[in-house]
Amino acid sequence: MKYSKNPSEKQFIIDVRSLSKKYGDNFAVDGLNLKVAEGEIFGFLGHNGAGKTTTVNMLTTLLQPTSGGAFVAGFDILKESVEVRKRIGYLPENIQLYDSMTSYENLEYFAKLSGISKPEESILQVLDFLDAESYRDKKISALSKGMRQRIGIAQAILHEPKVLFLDEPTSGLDPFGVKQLRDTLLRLNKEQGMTIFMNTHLLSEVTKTCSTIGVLSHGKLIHSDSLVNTMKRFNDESSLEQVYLTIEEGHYEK
Amino acid sequence: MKNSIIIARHEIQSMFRERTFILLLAVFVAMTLASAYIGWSSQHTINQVYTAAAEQLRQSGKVAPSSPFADYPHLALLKNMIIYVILIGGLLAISTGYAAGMRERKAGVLKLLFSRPISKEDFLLGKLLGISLVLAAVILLAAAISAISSAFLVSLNAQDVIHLFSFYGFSWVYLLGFAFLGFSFALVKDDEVVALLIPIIFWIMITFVLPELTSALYPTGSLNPTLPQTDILQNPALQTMHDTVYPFSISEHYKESAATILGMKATGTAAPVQSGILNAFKIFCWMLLGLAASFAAVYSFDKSRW
Ligand SMILES: Nc1ncnc2c1ncn2[C@@H]1O[C@H](COP(=O)(O)OP(=O)(O)OP(=O)(O)O)[C@@H](O)[C@H]1O
Ligand SMILES: [Mg+2]
Repeated sequence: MKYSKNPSEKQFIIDVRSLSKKYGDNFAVDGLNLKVAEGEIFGFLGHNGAGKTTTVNMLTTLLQPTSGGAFVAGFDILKESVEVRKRIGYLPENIQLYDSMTSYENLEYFAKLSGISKPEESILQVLDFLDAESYRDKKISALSKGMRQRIGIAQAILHEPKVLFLDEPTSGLDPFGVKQLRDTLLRLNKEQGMTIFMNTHLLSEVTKTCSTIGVLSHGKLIHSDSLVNTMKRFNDESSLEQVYLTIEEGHYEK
Repeated sequence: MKNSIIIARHEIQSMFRERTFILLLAVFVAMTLASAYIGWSSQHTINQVYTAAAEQLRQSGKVAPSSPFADYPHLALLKNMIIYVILIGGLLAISTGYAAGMRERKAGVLKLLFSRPISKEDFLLGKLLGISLVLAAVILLAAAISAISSAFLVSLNAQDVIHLFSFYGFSWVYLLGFAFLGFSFALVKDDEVVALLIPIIFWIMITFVLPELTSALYPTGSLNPTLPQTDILQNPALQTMHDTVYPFSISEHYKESAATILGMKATGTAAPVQSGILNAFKIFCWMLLGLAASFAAVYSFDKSRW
């Protein structure tokens, strides 16, 4: 594996270098440099339209950058996109699946496309892990948003990816669903050492799950540090919300 | 290739759960079932009329000429099928291709699909394979129905059976052109209605407008739906129009080739029918055009959109 190394020999599983995406005359992502170490749960924050989804689209190789590049799990997103995709899981914003098929049929299809030739065992394991065996033979159209979300996560972790990308995974979930998601992510991180990259607006969740955070504003990274350091640096502030607003405001004043 | 097969299998499975597809398929199958009987019954009526007329002539002491319908080819009773393929088959093909192109978009899973280690080539090949196999299944079903129903009505020999299956194989190629077009526009057009409308306009042009400007100009055009009977076009302007449009009139080339395969011959004076090979080649080109459109669509569409 060709992970890029930092001086302390810690491995960066996500290494973004001057990544930009331009739509017309506007930069959705503007010269982004960002490193995420293996085993982190990274919270990617920023106002609506900051460029979070665009960044994830590029890191998951769905979208061609205008310039710059990135390494994910040691592979170049531009030149080795298939290798990257073998090692990532992805849960898009507002997850949808094939409505007329059952959970099992959906998972089987994505498992096969991920190169799992006999997917039954993996599917049952993952459904068990997510406590979702009872949805197995239900059609997706018959599932609630929260249930669908769990099948979406099952789809994203079936092939045991090294990095899991989640785009606003909590949106539309009730408090119970939010807690369940948090527990799942913490377990995945702890038990499988999975690195998690999560776009989110839910700061209370960030405090409970993330180890590092980055703040994006108008396509530019304006802050990136561990959660602990961030809270220390703004020690007058009582909550992450206050810290976040201070970071964003400080940026606007410039 | 492995991924393409997975995608193709998924496509076939999904298609047979699609309501529009099932509905059109049912109509097509019903028409196929009816066509042999309709063909047989109209021939039967004609023969009865001839027999009655011949009997009258004989009674009045005159000699009746032999029946002009006596050496009608066996498969002529399927000639309605040519029209059903063009009309319902065309719509069924468009709907198949459209559904295949729209499926991931409608389900909102295009991003999910392309976050898996598959390439655009895998996707394209899988979809084209899926569409082709679905239509092949439809065509085979129709061929089987026609073979069985014809065998009940007339005695078919081995040659007839070969021709019958060649006719359906040829029809498959014709329909693939429509299916691939439907697929292409479903992938790239933002508006779902426009995406369906464009291939339908192609179908209307090919099925109705171009023939109106060509063979329908002939005085006998409306009498025989499959082969033009004469070359009497006295008006030079009409003749020019005919000659300009005719090379692009795909449905007419299909009709002429299909009629020839079924064993029918152009009667009357030198009808302006092209050589069978050239006609068949044009149908093949039509399918390739659809294929080219599919390639262009897959390479230009944005994986991160839906
Ligand atoms: N396909 C596109 N064409 C044009 N502009 C786009 C396109 N996709 C995104 N943008 C623009 O890029 C910018 C960043 O959008 P993006 O969706 O990445 O933001 P985001 O941080 O995910 O926002 P949110 O929190 O609302 O999800 C926005 O200004 C958006 O309008
Ligand atoms: Mg977003």
